[in-house]
Amino acid sequence: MNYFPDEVIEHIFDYVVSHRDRNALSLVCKSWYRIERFTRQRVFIGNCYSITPERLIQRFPGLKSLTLKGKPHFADFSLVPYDWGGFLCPWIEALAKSRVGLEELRLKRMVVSDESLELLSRSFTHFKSLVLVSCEGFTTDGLAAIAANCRFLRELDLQENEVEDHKGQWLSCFPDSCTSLVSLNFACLKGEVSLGALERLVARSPNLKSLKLNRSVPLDALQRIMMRAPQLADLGIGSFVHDPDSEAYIRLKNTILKCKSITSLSGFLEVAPHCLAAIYPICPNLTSLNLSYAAGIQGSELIKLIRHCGKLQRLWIMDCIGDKGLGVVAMTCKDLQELRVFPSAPYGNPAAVTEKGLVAISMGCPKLHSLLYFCHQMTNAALITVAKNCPNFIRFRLCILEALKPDPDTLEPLDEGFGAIVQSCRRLRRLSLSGQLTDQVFLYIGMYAEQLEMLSIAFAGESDKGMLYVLNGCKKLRKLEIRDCPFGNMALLTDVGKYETMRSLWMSSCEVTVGACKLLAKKMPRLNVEIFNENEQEDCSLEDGQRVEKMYLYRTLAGKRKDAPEYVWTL
Amino acid sequence: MDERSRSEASPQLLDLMNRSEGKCSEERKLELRLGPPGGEEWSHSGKMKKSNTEREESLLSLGCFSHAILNGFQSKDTTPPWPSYHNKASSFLQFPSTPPVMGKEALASQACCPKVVELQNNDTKVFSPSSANTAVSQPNTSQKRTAPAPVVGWPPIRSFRKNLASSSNSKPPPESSQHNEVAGKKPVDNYGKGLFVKINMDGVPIGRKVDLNAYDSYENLSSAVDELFRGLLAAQRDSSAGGAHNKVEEEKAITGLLDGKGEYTLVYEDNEGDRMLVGDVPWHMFVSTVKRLRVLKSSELSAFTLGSKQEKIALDSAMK
Repeated sequence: MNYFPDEVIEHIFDYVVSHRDRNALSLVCKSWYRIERFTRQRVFIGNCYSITPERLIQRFPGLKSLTLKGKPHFADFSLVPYDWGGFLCPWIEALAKSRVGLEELRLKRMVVSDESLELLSRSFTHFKSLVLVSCEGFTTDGLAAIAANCRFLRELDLQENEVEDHKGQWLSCFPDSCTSLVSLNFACLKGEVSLGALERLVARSPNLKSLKLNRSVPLDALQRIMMRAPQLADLGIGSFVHDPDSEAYIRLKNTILKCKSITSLSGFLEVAPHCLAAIYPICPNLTSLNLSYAAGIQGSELIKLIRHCGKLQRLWIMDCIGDKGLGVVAMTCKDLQELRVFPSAPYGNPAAVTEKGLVAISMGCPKLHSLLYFCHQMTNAALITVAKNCPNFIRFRLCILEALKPDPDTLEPLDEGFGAIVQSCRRLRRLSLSGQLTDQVFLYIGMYAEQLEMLSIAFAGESDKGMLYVLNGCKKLRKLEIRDCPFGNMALLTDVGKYETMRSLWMSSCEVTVGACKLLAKKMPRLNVEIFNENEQEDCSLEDGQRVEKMYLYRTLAGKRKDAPEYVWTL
Repeated sequence: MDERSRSEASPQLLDLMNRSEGKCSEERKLELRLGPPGGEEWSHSGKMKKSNTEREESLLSLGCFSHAILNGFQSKDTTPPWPSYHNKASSFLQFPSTPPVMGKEALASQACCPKVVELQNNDTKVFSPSSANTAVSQPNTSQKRTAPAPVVGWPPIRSFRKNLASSSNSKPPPESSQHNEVAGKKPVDNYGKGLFVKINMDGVPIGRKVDLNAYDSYENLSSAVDELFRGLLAAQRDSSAGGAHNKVEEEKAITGLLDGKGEYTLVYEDNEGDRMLVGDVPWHMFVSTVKRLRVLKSSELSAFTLGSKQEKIALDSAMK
């Protein structure tokens, strides 16, 4: 290949798109490294503290699209204290200073300030796409800046962020000249938006394909919007509350009949009973349905709705659908690939789902490859059946609501069930365990889960052996997060080199001590080993024998970070 | 499902005490023997069966106590099953035995609370046997039935979702107070419960409590404070005037709590014990750190706090 001129190699590299493949290219030889770095446009950084923005910019001057992830995953469940980190600001500042022509920014679990958004909006003339997932720290003022200043904005996608509402008119800040919107999602915002501004915006955005409204947008406004955007493919409904006999509702039903291009539906943040019939006409076209925010829909209505959705590939739903409802899904949605069943009340719902629902799904939906399933109980027999029926799982996340619950039929731990899953699903990349589990399940995982990249463990295992099985066996492991397990120093320290092959390790409420963490940090200078000392006593010093409540370690080229709050001790 | 298992469990438990199978005496052995029993090797396969059956009797698991704080779907059962400390617990402590099985539900309820709390507070051990000891040795004392502490972050649901069920078809969900904020060892999982903090007002001897989860902004909180105290304040003025008026003094609205312009100002004490002006930080941060509220006379605020408030007002106007 080196006999080809650079231009030819560049051209070939254009066809290589995925991050991993690109990374692989850059490792072949120096000249490929050089060519690759100048032609790279999209970079994914799974841990914003693994590298400094300056270094990133230096290597990839042609950067156009950046994805950054901040806080560890368990931050979603309140395990990471406030102010831990993950600030966007230094990245934007560094990018703004450079000559990078940033066009796309995708952030997950980062702290984003209004100032950063403002700076972002002013610094990159061709900025096109902003996607924020589970972020916090900004207000609608920051959104106003984005709306006002990004002249070529195509995508503003806010998913599950904590946004403070300043009751400004951020939507009205889109200038009349802005006609380029393709995707707008503000479903997570709590405040009201100017409906007039929204309708006008939709009317002047002929390319708008995806629109997700928040709960403040009433049904009549929805109807008018849908009239103006018959080309919509992805719709998130805000409020779906109306008297079924009212004119507005009838108008809506008629409008819906015209929207034949909708293939993805979500929202229903507020819904009145008996209103769902209006959407039956579009159900047969749906490939994606997300009703997981629709706390107001009863199980029976869900089931009636599902019967119309024969083409579904992706379904996110609440557990009030029940096992019977999942049976209906299994019969109706033969193309189902991804299923998520969320609990409608975190600790219990009499009509909730059990192992029976999952087995039914596995029997009816052989294409299933991604699962997130919150349930009350699970049996080994069910898991074994599921493993046989669905060998294609890539993501298998099972959460039995009651921690430590064994198989209710046999009272055994669920080792065998999960063992069957990992043995059968050779392509499994992500696994979350729950229920009662001994070290045996980890032995199975270490033996069979060769492609496993992310493993989440809670209240499981019996000894250090469990964790060691995983660390030794799962060669492709990137993220390991553990809480409330009896894994201690021996497990942590046996193979310290392993952690440099991984993105991060989280351990909370386990048995590791301060001394072991210090030792690890000393041995591995390219890891940041952070322990969180949330003790309210100001001047407690950490003694080596003390158990560590929370530890987060990650590989990094950036050294110890300077923005850590007081309670984070980087050893 | 849960209800069924719970109601089945109760008779089961009672039956156990009468059964003459070996299990029973073993349990008794375990009940009394709460320190490290010593000797027994925690061998993987051998123990499994035995511990399984014991588990059957114990019917509890760590997450079970959460039933107590569940709203809405609770069974009428007033003695919900409480968690027992599981094999996991013993292995945490490197105690090879299984944990004591609670013969009486009351026992379990009393025992679990301190243990769970210790799950949160980490001392050197996750579970301390001493509390279980007291519980078992006084089988008929159902001591204070404290609500067990929920486990932080379990089940693993984003706070964003947790707020949905409580807010459907009604006002927008309150800003999540547990979003990524665990300031101390106390479990913060407030799903389903209000976040009640005390609020006292200068000149009003009786305090109130407010549920911060019911509000999503400082403005709403401020109007709630006004509503709470307006009447009380008027009554207080009335009585301090010696009851000379026959009519109740006109209730005056309490305004300007947040901007320093009113007769009263809203302050709070945070989780570090400091007194702070309400309004400086984003709402959700405030909710996560506030411990109690006070309505002080603006004139009695120290010059320092007054100064910083004016600063804030100046800043605000500059930024807008």
